[in-house]
Amino acid sequence: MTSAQTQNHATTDTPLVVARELAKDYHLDGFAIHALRAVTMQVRSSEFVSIMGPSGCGKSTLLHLLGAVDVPSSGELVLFGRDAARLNDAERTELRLRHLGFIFQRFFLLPMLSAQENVELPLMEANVPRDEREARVREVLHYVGLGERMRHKPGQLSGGEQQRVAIARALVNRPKLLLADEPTGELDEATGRQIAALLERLHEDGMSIVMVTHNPELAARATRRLHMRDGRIQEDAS
Amino acid sequence: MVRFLALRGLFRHPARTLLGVLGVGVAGALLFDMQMLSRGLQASLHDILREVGYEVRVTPRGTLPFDTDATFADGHRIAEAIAAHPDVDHVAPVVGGAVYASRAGQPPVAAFVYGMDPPTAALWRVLDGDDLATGDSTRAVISGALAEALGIGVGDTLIAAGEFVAQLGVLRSPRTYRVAGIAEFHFDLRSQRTFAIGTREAQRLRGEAERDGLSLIAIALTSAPSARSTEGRSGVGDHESAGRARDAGDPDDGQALAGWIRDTFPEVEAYSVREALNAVQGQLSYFNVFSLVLGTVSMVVCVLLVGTIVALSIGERLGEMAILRAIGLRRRRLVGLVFAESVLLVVLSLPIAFGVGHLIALWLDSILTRAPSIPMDMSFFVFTQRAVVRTLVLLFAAGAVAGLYPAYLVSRMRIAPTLHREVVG
Repeated sequence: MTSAQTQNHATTDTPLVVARELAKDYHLDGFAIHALRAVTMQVRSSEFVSIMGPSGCGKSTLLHLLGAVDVPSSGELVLFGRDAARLNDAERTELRLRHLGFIFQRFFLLPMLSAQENVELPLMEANVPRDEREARVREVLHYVGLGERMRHKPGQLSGGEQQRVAIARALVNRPKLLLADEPTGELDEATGRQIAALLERLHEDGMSIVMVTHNPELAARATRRLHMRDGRIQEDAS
Repeated sequence: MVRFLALRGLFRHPARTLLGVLGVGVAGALLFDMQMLSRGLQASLHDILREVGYEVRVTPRGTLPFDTDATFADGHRIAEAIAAHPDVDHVAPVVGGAVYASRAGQPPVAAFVYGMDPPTAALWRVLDGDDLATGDSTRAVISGALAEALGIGVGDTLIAAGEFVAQLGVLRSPRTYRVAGIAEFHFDLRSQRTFAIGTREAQRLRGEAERDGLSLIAIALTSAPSARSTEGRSGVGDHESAGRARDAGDPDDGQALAGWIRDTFPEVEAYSVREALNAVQGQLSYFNVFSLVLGTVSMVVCVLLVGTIVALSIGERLGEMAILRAIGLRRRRLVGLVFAESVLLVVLSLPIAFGVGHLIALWLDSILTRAPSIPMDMSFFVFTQRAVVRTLVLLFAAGAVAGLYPAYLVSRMRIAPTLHREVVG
């Protein structure tokens, strides 16, 4: 993946994500849990946003809403110019496939597939022709530094390598926005730094990133830092 | 992609999948056997009837061919009238029943006699020596069982009578024949001792000559039954067109003629091959019920096995499913994946189902056909295309039904809570 390719999301003033008074409530044993309360924010193209805060403050919930894997209880959410409330399940799925990339704390690779096959999955779903799929998978795995380990299965890779495969999977459909939920949470410090460097390189190459993390060092690499508490954004610093 | 993921998903736990495949294979084998059994005797009978090549059979009213010793009177008159029908190529009058047979100086044994003039393919196949000859009433063809019981062979003399006077230990009005050949009789029971002589001679032996009693008239149709052409026809005793006029390939052939015979001769029953098979099937409803019950049980076992394995597998992989949804795989793709895994389990079990099923069928058939009341040429388990297709359809249906619950789980799965559970354990 070249810098030019990641920069096909040229910086514009049009925000990728707009959230206004966003709230999310859960009901557990008859009690309402307010996971997110009146969150208002925007994410612009080529921004690298980190979200920090104590456990249970709503970071992951916000990320799930921004990633269209969940729907808000109230408020307005506009994703890539489309009102999320008006999207049905199939449209949200299409949005995730075409415009969003996910990285999870636990990598969540399919253990029976090789690195190449794991990365290829979103392309298969997007009906990309086989030749193009192979070229793009090779390219993106080289980009994350795993060009020589394409045939290896997750069990044969280290934690850091697995997370690189997960990043490659998130990038392969050339998303507009990368969402990372504690991407170094399962890694040792040195490996975590490597992943952080990779994310930083991605941002430098033009990728927009929203990252939830507990790691202040990693959060410091972002160009904009949000601090959450009790379901609200308490601080928004650039 | 679905097939690819399903295959990889199944072989994630090879031992579990292997056990499941074995289980489904064995249940499928039982299902296949029951499919073969449900119509086995009928198919076996059809094969024999097709081989002997007569499309219509006339028997005494209310009987099937040779299921009793009953005869109908004026047999040759009826046979000649039927032979005159334009759809008929030739007819074969047959008489049969219980008699006694012996060799000189030895006590008699109970035997069964067929009286039939050539062509005789409807009832037996000569294995050694010669067949009966038109106009030679001294010839007899005997079964291997009778030859063994009496210790006689080709060229020896056979003594037979319709009655045995037990008090005196003698045969009443015995008649003698020269054994022309040893034959295999299509409908003989395993322990049955049989011999065959000409029709008129058998009537004399059985005391049926005066009333011209016949047990059966086998009727071969012309090649174009409804053509109403009489050219090339032959009637009773005219054996110029000896042999089969045509194969009894279509069991529906002869239904119109059978109906005409029933209407014209109320004292007799007439069966096309289809009607004869249906009548036999009616008598074999026990086997149908048996195969239905065991077939249903094996289906249920298949559904439970496949359902359990796939539900377990999907239950363990709900987190993975949530990831796949999060990275953009459509809901219907995952539902398809579940059904693909179910059906794939069935596909993998097919070689076992058909292989083991076939072996079990051969084994059971060899046991069941040893029963003394079963014709030797008959089989209980008959490998037919219908049995294969029905087994395939039922197994795939079982696979699809088994996938319903796991597919429901996947279709109802919510991504965010499932991911959350995966992370927090």
